[in-house]
Amino acid sequence: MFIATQVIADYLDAEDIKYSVNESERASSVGVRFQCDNLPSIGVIFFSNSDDNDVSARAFSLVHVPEDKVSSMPATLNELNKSFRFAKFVLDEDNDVNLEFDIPLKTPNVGEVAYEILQYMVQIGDHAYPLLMKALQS
Amino acid sequence: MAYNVINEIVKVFDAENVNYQTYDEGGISCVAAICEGKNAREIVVHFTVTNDEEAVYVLSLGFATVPDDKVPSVLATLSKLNNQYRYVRFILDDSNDVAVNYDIPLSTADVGEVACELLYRMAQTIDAAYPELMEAIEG
Repeated sequence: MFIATQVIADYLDAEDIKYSVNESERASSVGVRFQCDNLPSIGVIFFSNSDDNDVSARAFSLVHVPEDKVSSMPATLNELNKSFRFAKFVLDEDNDVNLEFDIPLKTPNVGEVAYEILQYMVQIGDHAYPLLMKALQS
Repeated sequence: MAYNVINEIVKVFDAENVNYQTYDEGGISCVAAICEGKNAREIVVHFTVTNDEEAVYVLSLGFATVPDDKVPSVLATLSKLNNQYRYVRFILDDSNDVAVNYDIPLSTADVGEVACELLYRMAQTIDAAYPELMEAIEG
């Protein structure tokens, strides 16, 4: 496992949080899943693809956007990106709305920061879900 | 608390010869760093800390204002840029100004080094995205 993801895994162990690990030659990741109030659950994955302390946090597929709603989604995501700090709402090439945060390489305490971001992403994803669903249904 | 964080940032900026100014305004302390780009000639990145917390809000704006009739195309462009570039977030604010921002987490140790990294990332990203943004606004 790349160093940063190991550091995150160690921090989650200390916080008694269950996680899954995925490793390949190109990347390693630590994934956590939480039950939520609005979303059935949210999965946050921390990826690293080198030992440069490069960590991406992603919560994939909060919602899938049908083709006829794609053109109106930028306005909705802009409102969400203005409303919530830290994580970024992104519409990807598969028309899925994802939540993203990238931890700077110079962060010396990546485990602690990842834990902070994990909490934000879970809260933000859950708060935003009804707003996303309303936009899809309007 | 804000004073300590700003001091940490300024210390690293001095060591890196970053061109910056500091100011305080209504309970907020700020370092404004100035970079030159190839496309966006001057990029100003503000590092802002409120006096009651230590999270640093990083913001750059003032390089593009969008006329009302171009808002839909610019929103589509910003959505594409948010998918394309890591770290920073492109938004259209309530004044139809394009802003680019990032939040440094509260628990971040060595905020000075992190701020410096984000300064260069933000400036490079804005400069790279600038032609596409201008095309969406003027095209």
